[in-house]
Amino acid sequence: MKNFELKHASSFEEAASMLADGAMILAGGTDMIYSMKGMHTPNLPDTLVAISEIPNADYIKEENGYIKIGALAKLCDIAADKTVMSKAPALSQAAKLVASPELRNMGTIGGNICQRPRCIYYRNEFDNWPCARKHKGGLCYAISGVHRYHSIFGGVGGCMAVCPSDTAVALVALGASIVTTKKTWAAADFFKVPSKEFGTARGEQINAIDSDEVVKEIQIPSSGNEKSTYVKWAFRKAIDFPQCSAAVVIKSGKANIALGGVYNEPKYFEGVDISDPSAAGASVVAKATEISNEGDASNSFDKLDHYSNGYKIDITKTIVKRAIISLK
Amino acid sequence: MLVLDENTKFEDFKVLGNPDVHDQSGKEIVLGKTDFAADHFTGHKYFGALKSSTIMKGTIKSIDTSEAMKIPGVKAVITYEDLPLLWSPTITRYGQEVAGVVADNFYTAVRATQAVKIEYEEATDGVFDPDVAMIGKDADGNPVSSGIVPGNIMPVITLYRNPDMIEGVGADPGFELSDYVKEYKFPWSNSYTHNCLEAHQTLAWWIGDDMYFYTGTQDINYIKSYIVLAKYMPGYPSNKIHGVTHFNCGGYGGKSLDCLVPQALAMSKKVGGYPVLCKNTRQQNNMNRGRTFACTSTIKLGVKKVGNDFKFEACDAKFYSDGGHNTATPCGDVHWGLRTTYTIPYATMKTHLVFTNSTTRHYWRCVNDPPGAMNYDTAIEKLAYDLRDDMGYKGTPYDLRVSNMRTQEMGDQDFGNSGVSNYYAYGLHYSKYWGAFAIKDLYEKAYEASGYKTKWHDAHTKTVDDLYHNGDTRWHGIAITGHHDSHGVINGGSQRGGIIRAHDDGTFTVLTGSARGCSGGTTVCCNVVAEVLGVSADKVKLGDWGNTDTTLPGGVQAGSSHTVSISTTFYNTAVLLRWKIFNAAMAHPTFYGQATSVDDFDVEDGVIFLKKNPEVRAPYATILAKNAAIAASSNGWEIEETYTGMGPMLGKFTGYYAETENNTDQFGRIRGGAWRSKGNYLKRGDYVTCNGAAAAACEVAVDPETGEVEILHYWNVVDAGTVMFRKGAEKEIAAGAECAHNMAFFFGDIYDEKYGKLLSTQYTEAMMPTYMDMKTEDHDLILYESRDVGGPFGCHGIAEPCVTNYVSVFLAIYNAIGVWINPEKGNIGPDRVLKSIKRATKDGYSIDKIGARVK
Repeated sequence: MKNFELKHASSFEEAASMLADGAMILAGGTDMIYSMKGMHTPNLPDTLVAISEIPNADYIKEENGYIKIGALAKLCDIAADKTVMSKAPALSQAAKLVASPELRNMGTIGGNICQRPRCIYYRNEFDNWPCARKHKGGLCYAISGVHRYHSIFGGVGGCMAVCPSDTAVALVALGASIVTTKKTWAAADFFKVPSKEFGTARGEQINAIDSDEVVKEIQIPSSGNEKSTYVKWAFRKAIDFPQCSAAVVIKSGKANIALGGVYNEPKYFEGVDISDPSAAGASVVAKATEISNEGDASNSFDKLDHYSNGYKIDITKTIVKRAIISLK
Repeated sequence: MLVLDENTKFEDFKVLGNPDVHDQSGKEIVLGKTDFAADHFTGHKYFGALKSSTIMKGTIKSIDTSEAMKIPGVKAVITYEDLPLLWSPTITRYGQEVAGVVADNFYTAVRATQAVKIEYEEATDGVFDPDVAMIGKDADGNPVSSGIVPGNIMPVITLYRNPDMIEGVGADPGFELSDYVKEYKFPWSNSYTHNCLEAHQTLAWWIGDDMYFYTGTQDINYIKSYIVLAKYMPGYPSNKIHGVTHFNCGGYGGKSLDCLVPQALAMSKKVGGYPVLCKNTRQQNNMNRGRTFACTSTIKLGVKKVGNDFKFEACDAKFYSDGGHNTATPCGDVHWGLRTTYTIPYATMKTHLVFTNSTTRHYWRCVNDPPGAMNYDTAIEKLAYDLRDDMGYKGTPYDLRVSNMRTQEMGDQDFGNSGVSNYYAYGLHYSKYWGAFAIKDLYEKAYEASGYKTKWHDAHTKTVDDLYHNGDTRWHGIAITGHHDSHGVINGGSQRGGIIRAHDDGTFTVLTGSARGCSGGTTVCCNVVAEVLGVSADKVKLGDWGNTDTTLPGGVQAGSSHTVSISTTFYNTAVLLRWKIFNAAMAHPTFYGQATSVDDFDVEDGVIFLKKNPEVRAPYATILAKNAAIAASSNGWEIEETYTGMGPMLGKFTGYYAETENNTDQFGRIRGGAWRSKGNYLKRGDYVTCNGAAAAACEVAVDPETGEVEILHYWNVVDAGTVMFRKGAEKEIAAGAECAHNMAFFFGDIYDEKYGKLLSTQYTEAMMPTYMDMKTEDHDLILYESRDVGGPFGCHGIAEPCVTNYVSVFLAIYNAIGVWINPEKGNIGPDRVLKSIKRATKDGYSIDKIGARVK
């Protein structure tokens, strides 16, 4: 384990002020401590700022037309909250599918949307694979290697790792906002990967917030998201990350759809025609392919070759179709 | 009073097989009191960590330890010079141990290993891909070499058989006699994890010239007598080597070099004998310990039409196993699964070891386990479908299997009763005699329980209720497989001893040399003693175990071997103790003058009485009040019959028993195991095969759109011989069934093939299954007691035989969708189901067409 100094903050603002010199936030600890023990990156902090003692930051409440969730709300509580279950079921379902009961009991929603990538190369102990995400000029070993949990729509900044968060996908589809110590983000913007900073600690983030910015609250419109669901396709039914996932919200006969496990960030599509669920699944995949082909072609790999991870394309189509059918 | 002979009524046992008897050590396990190496010397020890190579082939040019030694808290660094018999400057695989650091705490030690600078001369001709290794050239035509054996391939075992017992004739005459011949080639399977749950750790220290170690292993005496002496200090006096193990790291651990004992001892020696706790990181544990072999095969089968049946006439099978850099036999026991389960008059079986520079692979017995079984079982299943297509066969795959099964009367095709024995592997010398031969019974039970007769259908012709109620279709499939298996075999390494102490309150303590097995191996020892002494199970307690200073090297080790010898050992020891107590009783006032020999006594519920006058009686406590006794015995196996280099542990036992024609000695003890039925007793030195066996039926639903496979029901039928500890046996076979499920879908190492490195170094990545992935309520576990004739009680290894039947899942998937899944060096996960469907679709197959299938 990397040695570190532990500091405690009594407010999010105080925590943000303590994030100088590369310090990082420690909330539930389910990802951060794992990283410190595994020493998988050279960009680990010398200081951790614990925020778990910040008072009244784990609420789940309905207020002013929003479901408001404190950053320290536990995933288990979100999964079981009746308001979330009835008014934003996709988030409840996503929270319920994170890891295992023990980890959901410790893990927070803030931590879940601030975790690091789950690439098998990136996470390997002792930085055995100096990959592009954590080393300037590093390679993406997944391109030639193992990429079941990687993008099927090309990479960003040479990295094929995907956003591993279940709740992130749901939040994007639900049109959520994320309130930090600096600003309020639209979820779809929040999860833009800071690819220009790959090779630094910030570049390892799965979101775009600054290094001294702390998530305080999640806000979800409390009406219009009732017909929503989250479907996850993983090898294991517990303690696994999505190889493909889809959050679908049906509003006014159209669907807002976010795809997970298939790109660096949740892929979001608004107003998808759902008159033919099969066609809807195929259309979002076609659009995603089209968009990725507009990007850096050198980042694409084997993406439609069913001998690698192209099977995820078919599964994505299917889970989108089934999600729509389940809501109709 | 228990006396084993042909009249023994096993149904009358009061302790053995009693479902109310609990695990002697289960309470400690569930309360977390099980002691690991790290639990000892808390606060008064150093910590050791190991450094692994970052190349897969080459040599170490230099090692610079100066920076590591400057780190505060670092006490010493060891290199291959400190372990010349175990470590080498020659690198043959990624992750090979190249140095170790001793420090104040483990994390400092780990960090210091990063500061040990090693300069390598990396070879450019290393090889990771076994296909490339077999060819000897890479895609550009450049020669490649593992550097271990010339050509990277070593034939390991060749078996021949024909009706005239002429070795070397092989299969060709059989093919000439066959009406139908088909050859099946199988791609490389994956290499499975056979690893412990806890990363290995050993605490070692020296006091003067005595070495001490505490580790996790199945067999502490093996570590002492083989690992320490062969790999660390050859010729060292055995009475100066002291080892303890109380827990075997989850059942898989510690059969060979994975105990870290030499490493920890070398580290301790380097710091003046101070205790050092040497640990693997999880990554190292996964890189260096317990991988099993990948396999590829070509299997040619010939059958002859006899009436409406087709009989196996010939088999020519070639198995190739990727053993990494390891030299253990990988394929030897395909024999068990194929040749001892089915009758095949003319056969040639050849196995080969392919050497690559991939991570350490270990030998998991019973058919090179899953890969080998996957191949030959699939070959037989394919043959059945092909016979239906091409030869008008009306039977099912089950019918083909059962109609070709061997029976006990047929003896062994390759050795033993048949008079030909050319199966020698690393000193293993299997028996002349068969024990139980219940495989056909197991098949029939699986057949009946599963409803196979009405459920089996031609491939891709039956659907199940739609899971999602969305109009999508799932396809139904069913299959049955089963095999004989090497587990439970008596072998020469079983010279084992037991110790029982009788207390003056009429209770008894058992001291056994084995580690605590997963499901109560130590409890089995106690149960045998209770049965023989005629007391209830609660009167016999487990004392020390797995301690080379205080126990004899006897006991059950997981589910692998010694299954029979353990019952011999403690039966013998208990009989000896009973004989001593009865002798004492003769002198006791209660019985004085009324008994002329120990044969005049009997015992029931802990009370000794005269057979001729049962009212003259006294509890054990009365007799033992002034005559507390200890009994220690060995089971009399021939010491010269050792395996894998294991030598005598307590001196030479040869000649310990009087040479008589009888199978018992003067104490009535069983000598060397016995046939206990048909009045047929083994002579001393004879060997009996009492292999385990299991069959399984699997019923699945396959979702062709996501590749997901649901096991609708799984019937796991296991021949336990005689159940010695029912709760433990039930747990073992349940675990075996779950393991089969895991093998099918989850287990599997993940390698980066370009760089030759193992990626699945942590359990999140290695896809250890979760309980959420198994509906155990849909697993039927059927214990079949075949009443084997081997050993005093006739018990079998029971857990691992179940594992191999994971192939039934694979075959059921074919029955569902009509497509053979290409494992692509992996498991048969949903991704591979989808890929295989897609490949087939390119060749004209359609999932939407009922009955469509791929040959």
